[in-house]
Amino acid sequence: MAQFDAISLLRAPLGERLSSTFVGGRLAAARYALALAFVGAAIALTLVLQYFHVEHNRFQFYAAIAAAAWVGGAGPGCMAVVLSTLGIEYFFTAPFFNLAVAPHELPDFLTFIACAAISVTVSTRLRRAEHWLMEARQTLETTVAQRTAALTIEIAERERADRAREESETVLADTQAQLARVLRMATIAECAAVAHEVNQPLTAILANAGACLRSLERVPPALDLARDAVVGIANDGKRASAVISRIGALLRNRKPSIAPVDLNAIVREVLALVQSAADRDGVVIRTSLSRSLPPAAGDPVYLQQVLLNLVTNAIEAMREISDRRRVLTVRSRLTRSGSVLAEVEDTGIGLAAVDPDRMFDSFYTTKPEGLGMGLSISQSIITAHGGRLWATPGRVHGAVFHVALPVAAAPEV
Amino acid sequence: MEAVPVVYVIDDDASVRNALSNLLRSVGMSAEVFASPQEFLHSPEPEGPACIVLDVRFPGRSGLDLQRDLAEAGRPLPIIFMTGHGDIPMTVRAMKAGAVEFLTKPFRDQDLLDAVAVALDKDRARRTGEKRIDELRERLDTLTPREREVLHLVIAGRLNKQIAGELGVSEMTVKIHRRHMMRKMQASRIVELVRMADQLGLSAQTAH
Repeated sequence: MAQFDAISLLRAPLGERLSSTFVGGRLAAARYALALAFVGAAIALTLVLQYFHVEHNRFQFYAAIAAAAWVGGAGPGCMAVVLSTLGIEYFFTAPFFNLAVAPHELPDFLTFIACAAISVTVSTRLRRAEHWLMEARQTLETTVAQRTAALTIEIAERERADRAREESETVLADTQAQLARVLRMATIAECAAVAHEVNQPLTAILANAGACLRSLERVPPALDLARDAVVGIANDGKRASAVISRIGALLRNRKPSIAPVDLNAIVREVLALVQSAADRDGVVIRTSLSRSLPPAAGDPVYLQQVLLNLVTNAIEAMREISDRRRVLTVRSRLTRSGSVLAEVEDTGIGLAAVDPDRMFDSFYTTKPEGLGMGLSISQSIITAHGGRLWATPGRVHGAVFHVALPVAAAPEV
Repeated sequence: MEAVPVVYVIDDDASVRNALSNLLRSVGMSAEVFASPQEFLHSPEPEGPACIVLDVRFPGRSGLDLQRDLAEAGRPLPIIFMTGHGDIPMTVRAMKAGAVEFLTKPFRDQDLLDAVAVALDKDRARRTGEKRIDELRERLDTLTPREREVLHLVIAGRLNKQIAGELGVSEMTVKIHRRHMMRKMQASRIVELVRMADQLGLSAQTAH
C-alpha cells in the first residue's frame, strides 16, 4: 500500500521533471548532479568516520537521500537511493569492495533500502506540499488582487448609483414643484379660457350693436346692414349663453364632496410638495400641528389646493427678504369656538402694500406676474366648505393666513 | 377724389370679424375680413389709405409676427391690435413696434372707430409723404449732371463764386445752371430747396 502510494507520488514529479527538462534541461542536470554530490559526500564522510573507528551507521545516507529528494524532487531522490544502496553495498557491506551481498547482511541491507525509500517518499511529499502551498498562496494573491479590482469597480458603481439617485431625487423634487405650479396654473388657465370664450361673443355683440345703431341713424337708414347686425347679436347671445351653461356643467361635475379629513395630513402633503421650492429659496419650514386635531369637514383635493396656494404665496412673499431668516410656519389647532384652524405664517414682505378690502378679489394682485386668482379661488373654496379664510399681519414681519373649517360631524352610532 | 379707405379685419373668430365689418360699413368704410394673417398676406395692396384690425393670438403665427412681416415687406400699414385679455408684455411689444392702439376685448364700438380714424390718418399722411417724395424724385431726375452738382453745392451753402471755383467754370455759367436747377425743382427760395433735399435724403456734399 505504502509502496503503491510512493509510486503514485513519484509519478507526478517525474512528469513534471520531463516537462521541465524541456524547459530547463540544465537545471534538471544540476539537480541530479546535486544528488550525486550528496551521496558522494555521505560515502566520503562514512569513509572518514571509519578511519576514526566510528562504528558504521547510515544516518548520513538518509540525510543525503532526504536532501536530494528535498532539493531535486523524486527523480534525484530515487537516484540518491540507488547510488547510496550501491555505495553501501560496495564499500561498507561484507564482502567489501564488490557488489555481492553476504546472506547475513541481507536483512540489514533491505531495511536500509526500505528506510531510504520512505525517506524519499516523505521528502518528496513535503516538497510537493510546500509547492502546493506556494501555488495556493499565489492563487490566493491573484484572487485577492482580482477581488480587490472587482471591489474597486463595485465601489465606483455604487458611487455612480448614489449620484444617479441624488440626481433623480432632484428631478423628483423639481417635478413635484412643477406639478404644484401646474395645479395652480390649471385653475387659472381655466378661468382665462372661460373669459376668452365669453369675451369673443361679447365683442361681436358690442360691435354689432354699434353697427345697428349707426345704420339706423344714417339717412336713409341702412336697413339691410342693421338686420345683419341684429342677426349677429342674436347668434352671439346664444353662443355666450351656451358657454355659460357649459361652465355651469363643469362646476356641477366638480362639486366638492365633503367628508371627514385630516387637515394635518393635508398640510404634510402640501409641505412635501413645496419642500424643494423652499430649499431652493432658502426657506426654513416649521410646523406646529396639534396632535388632538379632530377631522375637519372638507374635500381633500380642494383643501390641498387652498393650502398649496397659501404656502406658495408665503414662499414667494419671502423671495425679496435678505435681512432676516425666511421662515414658513404652519400651525394647526382646534379653536375655542370649535373649528379646525390651519395657519400659514411667513416672514415675508407682509401686507403693507396690500389693500385689505380687495386682497381676496379676483384679478387683484401685487405680483408682477400674478393673475390675482389664487386667493380669490381659495376663499370661494373655503366659503363653499362653510369655513373662513382671512389674513392678519405677522407677529414681527410677514403675514398670517388663517383657514378655519367646521369640525366633521361625529359618525352616527 | 381719394379712394375709399379700406380696413382689414383679421380674426379667427367668424362672428367677431363679421360684426366688426358690419360696424365699419355702418360708418361708410370699406372692410375686408380675413381668418388668418397668412390669408391677408396674399391679398392685393390697397389703392387708398388702409389699416389693419388684428387679433393678437393666432394658432401658429401671432399677430405680432404679421406686424413684423409687414414692416419687413415695406407695407407698414398701421395696426390696431385686439386681445382677449390684457397681456402686458405683448402690449408693450406691439406698441413699441408701432401699433396704433391695443384694444382689450370686449371693447366699445366707438373706441374701435376712433382708433381706426387715427390709423387711417396715419396711413394717409404716410401715403402723402410718399407721393410728395415721388414727385420730388421726378423733378430731380430732370436735372443735368452739372445742374445736380450745382444743387449739391448750393444746399451745402456755397456762394456762386465758390461754386465757380470748385467746378472750374465762370460765375456767369454757375448763375445760369443755378437758375435752371431752381426752376426744374420748382423751388423759389434756397430754404425750400434745402427742405426738398432733406425730404429726398440728399447729402450736402459735392457729387463727384
